[in-house]
Amino acid sequence: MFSGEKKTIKSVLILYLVSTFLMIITLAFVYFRYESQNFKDEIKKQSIQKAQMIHTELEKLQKNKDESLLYPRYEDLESAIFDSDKKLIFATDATLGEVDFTQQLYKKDDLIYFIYEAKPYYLGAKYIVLKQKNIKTFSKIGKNILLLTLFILLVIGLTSLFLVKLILKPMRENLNLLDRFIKDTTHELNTPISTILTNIEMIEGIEQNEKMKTKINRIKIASQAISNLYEDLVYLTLNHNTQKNDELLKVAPILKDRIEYFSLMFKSKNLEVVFIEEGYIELFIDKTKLIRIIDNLFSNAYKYSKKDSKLTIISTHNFFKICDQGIGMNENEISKVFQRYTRFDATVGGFGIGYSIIKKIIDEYDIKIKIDSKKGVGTCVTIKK
Amino acid sequence: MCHYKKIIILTFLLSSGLFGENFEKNCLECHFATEQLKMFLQRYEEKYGSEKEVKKAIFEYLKNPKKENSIMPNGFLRRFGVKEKSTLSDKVLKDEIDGYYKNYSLKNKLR
Repeated sequence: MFSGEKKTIKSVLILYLVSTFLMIITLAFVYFRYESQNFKDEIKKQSIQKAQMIHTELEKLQKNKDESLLYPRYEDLESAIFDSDKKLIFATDATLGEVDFTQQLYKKDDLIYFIYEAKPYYLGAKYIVLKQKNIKTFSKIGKNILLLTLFILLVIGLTSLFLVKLILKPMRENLNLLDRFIKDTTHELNTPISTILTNIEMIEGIEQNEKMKTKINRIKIASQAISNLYEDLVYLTLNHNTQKNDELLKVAPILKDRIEYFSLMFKSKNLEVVFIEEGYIELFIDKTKLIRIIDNLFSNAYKYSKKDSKLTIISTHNFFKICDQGIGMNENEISKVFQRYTRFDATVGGFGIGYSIIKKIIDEYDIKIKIDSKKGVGTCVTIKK
Repeated sequence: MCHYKKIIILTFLLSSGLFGENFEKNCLECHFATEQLKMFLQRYEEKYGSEKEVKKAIFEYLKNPKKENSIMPNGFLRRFGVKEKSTLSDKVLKDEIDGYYKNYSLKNKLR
């Protein structure tokens, strides 16, 4: 799976799931509120009936129809009566002495308390307090809803994963095709490029008139561009199969060497190349990989530079920097520069893999890169330890 | 028969000094029917609830009996009117009310 694809799957999934989760959670919350309200109403209704029953019994007691003065008792129901000063008159259960009169209905230690205000106050009892076992607790309702919510979320998560994969399938196939094509092409490029370059070197040895020399130079530049591309492709396709030869390298001499290699190209655009050497930065890196970084930076600078402009290369103890006076990039483009196959000017050749290679290498060696660019002014790329 | 029983108990309580000193003289002289006294307290409790409120209401009524603060129904008041103001001192009145409440309230007799 490609990193881009993974990112797309991730962002789509996150966006989709977060919004769905929010909706489901809201629904669950509303449902929970509704259910607990229903439950509360039901309990209230039942409790009021029971309290009224007790109230009637108290009336009978007061009117002295019952000489025994026996307080009414029921199965599964403890009750108490309080006067208007909230002073206990009688309770069937000792624990009913402490009641929270601020709430009409509340739960304590898995027991449901209900306070009924009776009128008239038979036997002086204003409040009839009921204590019942919790039949169906609030937490049980919550638990059921939570389980249901989790199940729905799981189903949605799995479905969305499946959907995203389904949608991305054509894209993945296209990318696979492109990669395979590049791999095959790379393999077939090696021999013709070598042939062209060795033959040009042979021709250069022979005396030529000026016109012929220019033509041969053009062929050489073109071949070097292809060779550069070939090296990039080899790096990409055979990346994991090549041996690593990391060593402490002085960058400045290599920079000089690569400037020399690119000099024909730079000359063809009449670029003024300025190399400022303030110090030797040293990197612990595989030489071919360092050359890939430098070549890609030079190749980009060359591609996007205007004719007759200036190309500045600075080497210090801590960093080296390549500044061109090319078309430049805006911030949005800079952020996309490391994505594979990104190109900002279709008229300029290339696959848009240069920066993706640079990124791979600098990430591997923990080297830092900084791109300062201004549209229409130019670009400076700094490579730092 | 029941009435006799209660009167006997009442007399016993009176002599044991649980009531105010002269409950018999101060109250029972007119309100000799126990059922009537019981009914008064029931009506007070129905309306005022707590011991404090009930005692306060009885005290206020006895100090200044009016139609408005009576707990008796209108028909009764139309027929018999309200009683006269009590001539007892506040302290004596309060003592008598305490005794009355203690003995006639069914609150503490619930089982």
